[in-house]
Amino acid sequence: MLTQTPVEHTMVQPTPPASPQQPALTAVELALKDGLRALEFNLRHGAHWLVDDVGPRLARQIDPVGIKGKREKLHVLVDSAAKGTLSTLETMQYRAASKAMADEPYRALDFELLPLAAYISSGDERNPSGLFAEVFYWLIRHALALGPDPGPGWLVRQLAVDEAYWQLQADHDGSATLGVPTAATDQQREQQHAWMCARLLHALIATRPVRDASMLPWTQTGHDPADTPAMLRVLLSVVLAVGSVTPASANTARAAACLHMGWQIAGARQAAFSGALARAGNDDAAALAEEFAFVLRHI
Amino acid sequence: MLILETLQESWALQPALRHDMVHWRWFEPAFQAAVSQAAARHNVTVDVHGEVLCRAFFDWVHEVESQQHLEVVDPLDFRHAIAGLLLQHLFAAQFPSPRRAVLLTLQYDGAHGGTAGSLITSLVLTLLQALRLQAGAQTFTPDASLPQYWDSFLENAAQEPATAVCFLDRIAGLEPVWQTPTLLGERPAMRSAMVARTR
Repeated sequence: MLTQTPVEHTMVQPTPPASPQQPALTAVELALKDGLRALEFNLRHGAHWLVDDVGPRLARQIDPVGIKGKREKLHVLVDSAAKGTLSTLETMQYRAASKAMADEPYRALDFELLPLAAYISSGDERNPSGLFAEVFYWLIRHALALGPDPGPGWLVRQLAVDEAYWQLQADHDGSATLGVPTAATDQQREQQHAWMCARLLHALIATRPVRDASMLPWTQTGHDPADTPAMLRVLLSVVLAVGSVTPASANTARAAACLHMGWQIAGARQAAFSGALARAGNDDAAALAEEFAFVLRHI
Repeated sequence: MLILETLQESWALQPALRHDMVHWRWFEPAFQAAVSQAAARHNVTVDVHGEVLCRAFFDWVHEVESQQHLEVVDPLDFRHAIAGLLLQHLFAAQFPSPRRAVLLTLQYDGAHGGTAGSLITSLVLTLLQALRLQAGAQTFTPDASLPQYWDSFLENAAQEPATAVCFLDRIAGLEPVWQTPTLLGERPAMRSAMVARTR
């Protein structure tokens, strides 16, 4: 019986174009930035713990007579030492924030949003994801603060926000037209925009940009805020805020107003968006895009 | 008393009123302005729950969109119908199932004052009059017998918000469709117009 021997192909196959990926340098830079922010967060909480808990306890141990006793000066000394530590840390934090990061408008939510396409195709060849990662990082931070209960110290990871950008690019297979309206009619443009919003929400949910600050970054167990309805509302409000901005609506692009509106609509339509997300298979993005199209049409 | 004349006139002058009214950026401040004016007229102060209003708005526009194809059949009756649907959704937001936030919270300055239902109705009647004017029609005179069924209207609409569509038609002098108030194609004017179109 003849057996067919496998033919060895020596010819070099043409490699498919590489999917856009997050540059290693960007990943390292953002990981460091996130690490510093986490450190700053924990130092601040540690300093407050020092002032509110350790300082008074230490004073009581050294001087059980208490603050109304004769040796009141000792209490004052311990208290002032703790407060001095906190003050030093806060000064350092302020300096670091104002010098190392020129992000005051973002920090204060005092800036104009651009249409979504401008963040997805920024035109910055050196750092294509830079603007996206910066703006969406801050929008998520501010959206977290809009809830009635800000939660147990949630931290936003800019690295994960940046990953969402690259996932979005990869989903689109590296097409150069991503974010650039190519549709001919208004209706097609509306649909294209809604699809982009749907993909963006998917990407942000997938990369989990918010984590519980009380958990160590490398641990995978415990409470994951990414899975909560509150987190869907946060991410949805951010996407709606940016998605609501069109070139024609430049006068209504204040970030604070857009985010507030996005927050309201996300709360009002959360059930519909959750339902769209819950649908299985390839219909996921279609149902989600449909809901985005409906909402954005009536903003 | 129910119609807010100043707002009616300013809205009627907006050429894109029909388009704008189904957009949140127009609707929210318009709603706030209208209920504030109505509240001042009724000797109450009012707080609007933004998220509840937002939910009611999007539920309403969803329903408007789903029956949009009927607008070409009878544009003026369609305006009456969507005003009725708005009233329905606002009543539903004001009188929700237990343990949900309500649309309007009223604080009374004196012993007597308007109710949330009267503020909502005031807004919708004003908007409907503006929509008629903007479409080139005359304003209607509210049904003279309204005081006789006013309390019944508020009570029924609170319990079954869809009846608000019928009551609004009655106030505007149109024939209500009590069986299927939210099916716009069943409205007498729509049915007549459809028959006329098929001839």
